[in-house]
Amino acid sequence: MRRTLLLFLLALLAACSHAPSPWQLTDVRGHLPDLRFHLTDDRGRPVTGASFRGKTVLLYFGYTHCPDVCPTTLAHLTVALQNLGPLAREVRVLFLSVDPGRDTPAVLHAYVRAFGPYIVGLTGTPAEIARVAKRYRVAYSYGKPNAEGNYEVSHSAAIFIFDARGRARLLADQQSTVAQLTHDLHLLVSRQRP
Amino acid sequence: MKKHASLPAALALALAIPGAAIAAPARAQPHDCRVRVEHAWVRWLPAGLPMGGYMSLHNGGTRTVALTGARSTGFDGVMLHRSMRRGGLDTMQPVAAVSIPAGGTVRFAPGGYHLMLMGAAAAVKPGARVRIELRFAGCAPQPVLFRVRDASGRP
Ligand SMILES: [Cu+2]
Repeated sequence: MRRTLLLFLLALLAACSHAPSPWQLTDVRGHLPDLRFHLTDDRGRPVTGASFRGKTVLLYFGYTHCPDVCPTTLAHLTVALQNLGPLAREVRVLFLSVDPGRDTPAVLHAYVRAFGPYIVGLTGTPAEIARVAKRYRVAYSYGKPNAEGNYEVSHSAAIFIFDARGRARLLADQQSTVAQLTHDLHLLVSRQRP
Repeated sequence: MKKHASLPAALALALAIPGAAIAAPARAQPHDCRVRVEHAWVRWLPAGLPMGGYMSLHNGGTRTVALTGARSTGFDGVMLHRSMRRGGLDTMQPVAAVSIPAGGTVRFAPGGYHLMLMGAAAAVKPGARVRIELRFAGCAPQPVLFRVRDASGRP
């Protein structure tokens, strides 16, 4: 009996995975928690996940003293947003710093503005940031400071995409192409429009 | 006095490249120092943040050449860096030297090797050009003009 049920479930699962998915990125619907946090934005204002309801949100963990991988990812996202045309107004990219020791709102503000509109820098206390990272199982660690006090930060470069109701929908990373990002964002944003 | 200065320098160089299969000649041998540098650009970032420098290095000589460092009056410090993924995390690390095999090309490109440019002078801004001197083992310093692009990498 048990075995039959298991087989039935497996068959069901296989059937599901064969259904054509409209998404080109990884569909994580129902597998990751909703957008929720208490942080500070790049203008120094307290913000929560609810502050971004109504917008499609891309959440990316990084740090500004990262001249290679982080800007490359943000540049990718910037191009995808440009491809969306006016729909880009319905999207926000949240660049959440995992390096609050150096990433003040002012530094973050200059940094995100360099890439374009619709990108918001977020920082907070180490505990506030750790809480969000834990929520999405994002890891990061700090290297040893050198003689000048500079240190490297290792971080996971996943991009979490939430719909306008704050539900986790898609997962991208730095390997995701601009075409994939554009396609899925277009689909997600246009589905939410009234 | 000046004569003696080259010995510690050569030693330092040898120490900086442990295990590298490079026979660094004591004096510059222009014949083996034919590195062509193309697509040299810097990604500008604001607020005095470190910037990344990219280029493509082609060794037209008959021996492996090692890039061991770089300097620029436009920056307080320049390091050779490499981004890599380790244990699921993205990280970057300094590298002592980058070897370019004879006839080969090594690219400094986003997500891999990059020049880590720290403490930029005010003159380094999008649209400008900045001179960076590349140091190849056993070769005279090679000045290269890098074009400064905006944060998104647009020329
Ligand atoms: Cu670096």
